[in-house]
Amino acid sequence: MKERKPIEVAVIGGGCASIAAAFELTRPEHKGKYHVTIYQLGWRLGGKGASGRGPADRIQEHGLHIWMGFYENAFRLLRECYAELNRAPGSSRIADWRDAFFPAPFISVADRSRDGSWFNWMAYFPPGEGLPGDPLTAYNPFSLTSYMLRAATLVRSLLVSVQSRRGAQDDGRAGGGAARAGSAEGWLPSGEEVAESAIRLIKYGLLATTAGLIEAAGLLEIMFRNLCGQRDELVKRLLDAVAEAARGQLESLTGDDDEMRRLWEVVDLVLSGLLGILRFGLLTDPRGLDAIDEYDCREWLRMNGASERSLNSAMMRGIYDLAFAYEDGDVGRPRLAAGQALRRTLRMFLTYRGSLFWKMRAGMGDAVFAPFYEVLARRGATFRFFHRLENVKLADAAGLGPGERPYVEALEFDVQAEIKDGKEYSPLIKLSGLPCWPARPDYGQMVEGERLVREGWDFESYWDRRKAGTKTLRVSEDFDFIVLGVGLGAIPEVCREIVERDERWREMVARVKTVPTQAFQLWMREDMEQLGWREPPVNIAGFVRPFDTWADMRQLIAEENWPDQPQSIAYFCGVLRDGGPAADRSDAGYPARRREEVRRSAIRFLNQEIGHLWPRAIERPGRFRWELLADPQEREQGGEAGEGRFDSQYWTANVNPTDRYVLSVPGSIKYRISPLDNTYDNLTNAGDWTDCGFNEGCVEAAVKSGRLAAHAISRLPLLEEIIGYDHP
Amino acid sequence: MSDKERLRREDPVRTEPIRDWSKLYRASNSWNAEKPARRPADGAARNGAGHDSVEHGVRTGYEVIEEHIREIRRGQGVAREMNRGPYESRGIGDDILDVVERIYRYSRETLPLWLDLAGSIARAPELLRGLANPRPRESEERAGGSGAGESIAIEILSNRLTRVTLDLRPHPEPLALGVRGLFPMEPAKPPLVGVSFVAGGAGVVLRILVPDEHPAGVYNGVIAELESGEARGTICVRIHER
Repeated sequence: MKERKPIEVAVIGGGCASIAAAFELTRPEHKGKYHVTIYQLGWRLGGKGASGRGPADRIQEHGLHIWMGFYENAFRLLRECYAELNRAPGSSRIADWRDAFFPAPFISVADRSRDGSWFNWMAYFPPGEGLPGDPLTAYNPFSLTSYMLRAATLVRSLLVSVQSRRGAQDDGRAGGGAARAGSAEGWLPSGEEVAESAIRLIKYGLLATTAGLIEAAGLLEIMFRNLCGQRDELVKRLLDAVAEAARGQLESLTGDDDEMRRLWEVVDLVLSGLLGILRFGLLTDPRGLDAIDEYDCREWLRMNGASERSLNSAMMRGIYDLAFAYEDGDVGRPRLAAGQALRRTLRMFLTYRGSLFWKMRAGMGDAVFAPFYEVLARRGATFRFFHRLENVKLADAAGLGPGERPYVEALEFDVQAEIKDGKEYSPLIKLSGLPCWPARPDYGQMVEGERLVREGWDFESYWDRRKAGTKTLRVSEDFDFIVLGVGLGAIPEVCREIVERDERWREMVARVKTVPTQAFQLWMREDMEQLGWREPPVNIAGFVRPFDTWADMRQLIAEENWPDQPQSIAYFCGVLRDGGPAADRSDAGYPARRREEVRRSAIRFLNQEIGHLWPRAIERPGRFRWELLADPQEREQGGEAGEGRFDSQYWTANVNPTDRYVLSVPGSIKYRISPLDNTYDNLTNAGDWTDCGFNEGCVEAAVKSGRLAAHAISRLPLLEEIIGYDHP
Repeated sequence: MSDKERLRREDPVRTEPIRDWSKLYRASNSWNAEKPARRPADGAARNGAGHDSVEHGVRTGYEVIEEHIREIRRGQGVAREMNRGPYESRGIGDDILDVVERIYRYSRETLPLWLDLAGSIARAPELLRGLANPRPRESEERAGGSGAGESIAIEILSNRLTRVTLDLRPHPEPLALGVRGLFPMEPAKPPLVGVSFVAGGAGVVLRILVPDEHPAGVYNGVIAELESGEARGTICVRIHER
């Protein structure tokens, strides 16, 4: 008799990829065909995106989590989740996804001026059309139409900036046309008018003026919208003329003008990229941008004419910093595959919707994983917390039938803690009505919980092997399919049988690199302006290493519950140098040593470097004003003085194998394995380390991978529905 | 082992993404062409005018580019030889020089297409502050309308987290607008009446006053033109709990 029970899917790990896969497999459209059980070590979902509430309900994260406006898959699933969750609007501060996320349009890149001082090059990115996760109907951001339209609009912005820097010295020479283009709201000229204007600009040398260029860019915008009826030749002539004139104008401004010099560096990089695209035939290469993944991004741009100055510019550093693209965590070894870098740049700047960046009003655990947990639980998914995967056991190859593929026979877990009465662990706490993850587990739900507290069990540490028992899941009894959503760093150990037998897996774990990261968070008694930062709330990259990335997180103040409310919150993060040979699992002191290293590094950073960003945060060069730091337990326990006050803040060394950040090192992309790979016909991988179409460490890649894993099992979602999967 | 037959995954149709650049030329509405689009989760879908004429023009332009690219393919190897510098020619044969010339000429014709990318990265503060308001041109294009939208400042007086969503149709001339209170779905809750358009220093200000004790929830209202009474948009205010 045919089994009618649901197909059992064991999802290992609770990060973005696993959650996305679980969400897809439990959709109502499947009518209960799949039952998902999520196995998670420790007490909280989230993986590298997990967060917890510590003292004063302050949010404590692995690092900085900001979503980008091109995260179409991630936002689509998140919005669907919130819609299904359907929290009543007054029930909590975050009822809807628009409560959880808000636009963050300011970014900054730190750079050194000629005199050696730090200069913050701030950019505001105007709102992109629509919202991320909106259906792609009439306005498809991945069409060439969209790329060209947005680019034409944006290049006009660039030229206006040039004009504003130069002043109105040459505006008059362009005649009335400049005024029309510069304020052409609602002006829709006929094809003849456009052609006439274009010819006038070219013929009379009016492109020599900035105002003329602005008018030309405006005409280009119109032309791209209405190419039918325009002469292609005229378009190309105008484009060619604009490009040459613009480059000439920008170059002439670079003398002592730092800001214009940076603009030229960006133009130089873009022109080099363009030339490279043409030289390497990427427009028609069936591999698309993958064709240049063997090259490092800087190397490839250098080959195509980029100057050394541009290659070492703040913009270039920011591109690498964003991907933690430093092999072995060594900032002296930046390595980033050129094709993926170009893909990310195109997607990031030309397809963002709503805002370039989106920040959260709570920790990522609260804003993302708690809602998904609730919805999945409602849909009938089962959660097994405190289950640490130890081995993926393959069936004996000798026992395979004719034509039968290798498969996973069993999953072996350490059960870190038993829950009282055999119940399912209840992971969330409510803070002012908002479901949140705590920074520590609820020992009260555990068998012998008090002892576990006393003995200091660290459920999230790779080096804490203690357990309450073991569990083995068997194929066809306990699971039918597996979604393996652990971090890549954990694969060599938990999949040792597969790695031993399968050359592709050996190559993958050897070639696809990961790197540990470090982060710290500050809560301060003065606001940013008082500290000397007068710009809008910002995300800044390219600053002093190792903490080259800073985000102003003041929006979280209202979310926390301090007895004496801080006035500012700052998150810092960066890559962490690998500590020599892979740390032995028996070296129980390793994580503490690395954590101490981060602490000393953060203190040094605050004493020596932070004054460049926050000039009033230092007493004198080399001495941070430690009294600025808010201590959540100061009232009860008294506060430390001096550098000791840093101990009241939060910092982390993300050295657990499964927490390591995946890199896109040149030459490594081809060794990634797709979730669609069917070599082991009951196992699919999921994570930003897989070949998922966007091969870089980020939430979007993880979500895409999870959706691919779901497709591998259920044929849904359709591959065409995974936004941007099919993309150059 | 269980007596139950072991389930096996079927082979997918493919295991790799399609990287072919021709995918860039998908028709704007092709993303959901195979099946009805799922309803947006929160009703935030936007529809706009088609860009068929632009697609045609783009395809034409692509054919031009393709002709050039066939020539450029021959020069791919040149890039590697050029590693010494962008256009250095010492020690390079005439044949390659010829290719370099052609590459440069073809690049000049198509470089401008991509110069636009510079704008996506290069931003100057003065300009970008000036672009703080979304350009009405894009929304006008979608709606088939034209003309400048007047900017409206929103002033919220509230001691709680309050989110305002304003949907206003653009109009060629400034209008005198009004709104008669915002109403909740729950009959037991009172309307939010402290909502008005007032003249501000630089234009119109939509002022929203949320009394301290007003119940949390979602309140909606219609914005109408005062003279004709015709609806011009909607406003939604979400008041959070303390």
